[in-house]
Amino acid sequence: MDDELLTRCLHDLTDGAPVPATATDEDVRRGRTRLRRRRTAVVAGAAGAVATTLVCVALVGSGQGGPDGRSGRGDVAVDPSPAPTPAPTPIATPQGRTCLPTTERMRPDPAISRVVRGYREILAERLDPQGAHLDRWQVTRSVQSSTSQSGCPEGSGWTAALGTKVGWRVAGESGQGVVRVFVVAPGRWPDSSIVASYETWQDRPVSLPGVVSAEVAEHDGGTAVVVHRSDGFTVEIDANTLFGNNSVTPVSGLDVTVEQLLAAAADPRFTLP
Amino acid sequence: MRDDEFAAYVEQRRPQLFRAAWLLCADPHRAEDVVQAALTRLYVAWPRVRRADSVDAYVRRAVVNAHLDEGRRPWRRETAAGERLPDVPVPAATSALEERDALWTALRALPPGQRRVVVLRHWWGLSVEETAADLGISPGTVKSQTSAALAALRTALSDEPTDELTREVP
Repeated sequence: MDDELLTRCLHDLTDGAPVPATATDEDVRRGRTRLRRRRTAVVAGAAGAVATTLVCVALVGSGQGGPDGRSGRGDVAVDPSPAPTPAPTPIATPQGRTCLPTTERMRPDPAISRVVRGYREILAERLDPQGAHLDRWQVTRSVQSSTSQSGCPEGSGWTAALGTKVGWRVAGESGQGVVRVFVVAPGRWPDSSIVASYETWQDRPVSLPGVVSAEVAEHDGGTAVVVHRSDGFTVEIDANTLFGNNSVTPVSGLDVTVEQLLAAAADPRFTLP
Repeated sequence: MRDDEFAAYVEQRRPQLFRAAWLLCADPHRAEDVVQAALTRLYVAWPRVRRADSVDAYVRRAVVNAHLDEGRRPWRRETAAGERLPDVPVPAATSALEERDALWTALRALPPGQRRVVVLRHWWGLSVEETAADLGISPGTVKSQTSAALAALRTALSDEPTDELTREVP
């Protein structure tokens, strides 16, 4: 195979291939959202920089930093040849957390894969006991994890949140819906994409074992719930008629009730590795 | 103004970007994610890129970078091939189809770096220097990766069995 033949073969592969029908409006909307967030971040960053500068000026002006009245900057001992930081290895913290090197966490982790498989099993058991809808074995799966460095050596972290998406099919329809679940560790802020996706959150009184409080958001594509459990975990579940990553066609509906979603989120088996 | 110009550009170029991303990712779903990410970046940078008259070059780099980022993202797809394949009869393949399957398989087997070089050089038609600039590597590396990729493709395609059909999970 030479250069020219490869070029021809590659174009043969792709040039007649169907392209997903995606509304240009959606690309514009995503761009606007990113631009808005970026501008917000720039404003916040500038405000933070101003605040930091003011604090520094105040400290220097008041002569703080050293007992002799000199600024702290000149007193800092700089090691001219710092020893290289050793690569962190997994360690257990007194809080029962396991710190792993941050770079390692981006690789497939057997413990995380096992827990995520468990999530799917719980969702299937709670929301699709007949096995008619959830793509438990198919490719429409993903893993989202969030790490925290709190209490861990530099360059390592512990799993502070973990979630997954599972596709939802309806017989006779070509579209694809999704069930998303996100489990947040005690004491962590439940700021996942599920919570951020909707603005219609309403408190929902519930009397489920082990549940302190719950919130529900009804949205165009379905329903999302957040459950705050007495063991400190927060569990978020979203049932959406469109699996935006994988399909441009929604399913007609997800045959699950708000009560089913709340009961699923209250399941004490939703924990973290 | 930005929205109108951007929308017109996307309307015209999206198919090309998707096909390039598809070759890079070897997966249509991930390709769509990559295109979305690249176009979002393009929208943010639009006034600057438009003024510099370098929209195509910018978005091409954005696609490649988004492909790089895609591999690092926390959300990542897990393919379940081997756990359970759909029980669907596979139609008899023609010779042309077999050749396409063989090329896809060979492309998927290339390391990501070599695949990027192949797509930029042989699909997008960039020179060695342009490819090197896009990827941030030296022209010598582009040449060596091109050579390695061609050798691997040549070997894979010559070894491809013709009496056995395989089916990929989409």
